[in-house]
Amino acid sequence: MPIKRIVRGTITPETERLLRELVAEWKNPSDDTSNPVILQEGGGKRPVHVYVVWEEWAGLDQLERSEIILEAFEEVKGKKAALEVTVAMGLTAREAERMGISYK
Amino acid sequence: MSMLRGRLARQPETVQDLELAAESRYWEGTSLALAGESYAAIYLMGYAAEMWLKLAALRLDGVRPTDPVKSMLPAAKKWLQGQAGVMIDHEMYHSLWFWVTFLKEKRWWKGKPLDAMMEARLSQRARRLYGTWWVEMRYRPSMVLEREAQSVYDDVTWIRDHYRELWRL
Repeated sequence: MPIKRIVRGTITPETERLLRELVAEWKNPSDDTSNPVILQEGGGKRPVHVYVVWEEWAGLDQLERSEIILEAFEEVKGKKAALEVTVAMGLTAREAERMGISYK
Repeated sequence: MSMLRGRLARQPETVQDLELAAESRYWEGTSLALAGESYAAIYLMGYAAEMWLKLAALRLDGVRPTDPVKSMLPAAKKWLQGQAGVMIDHEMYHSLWFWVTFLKEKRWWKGKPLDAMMEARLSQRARRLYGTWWVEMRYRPSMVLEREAQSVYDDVTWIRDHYRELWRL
């Protein structure tokens, strides 16, 4: 039986689109609340937690959402900074509310 | 929507699940301590310490937030026994002393040990915590001294405050 490398996550046109949109928002944040809302806490002596609130996550499971966020973070901030991220969570507005995550 | 157990069991627990859970158990434990429920407070705060130490140990190998945790645990035991030659009961991977030992050994093996003061403080805190918290305590009646709850709070808070330093190389 052949031994093959595991490829993380499956890249579909849909996940690629979400990744591109997230990277674009990260690079040029807009005031439009329908766009992903990127929340970051920690840094310095604390590990970095990133939450992205976005209705577009609805069709994806938690792991797929996290992989897209990690990928986008690395693309925008670089590999070294990405190693500091210990939580990368994608949530819809309702899920964020249930987790007690509030933002302005 | 399925019931809680179904929702939780849908996906394997990941590194980031544990990190968020550690923070939750810590604050829940603190609330219980303030309400005078010392035994339950120790139980939850001990779990938080276990998760932070476990995460720090696993992060030394560069795990990602989305990596599943359970499948990495036997490899940690195998490494500690085989590579470092240390035999410690892992208590179904709940032992605080097992994870502290793994953490220290792994850092030495990577040529990036904790500085002496930090390592001494970690050992001191973890040893005291290990002497108080035990995963099996859930099956025992509440027998706790007030000062034990205080020391658990102090030690777990120290681990929380230094969590990032434990795994940064």
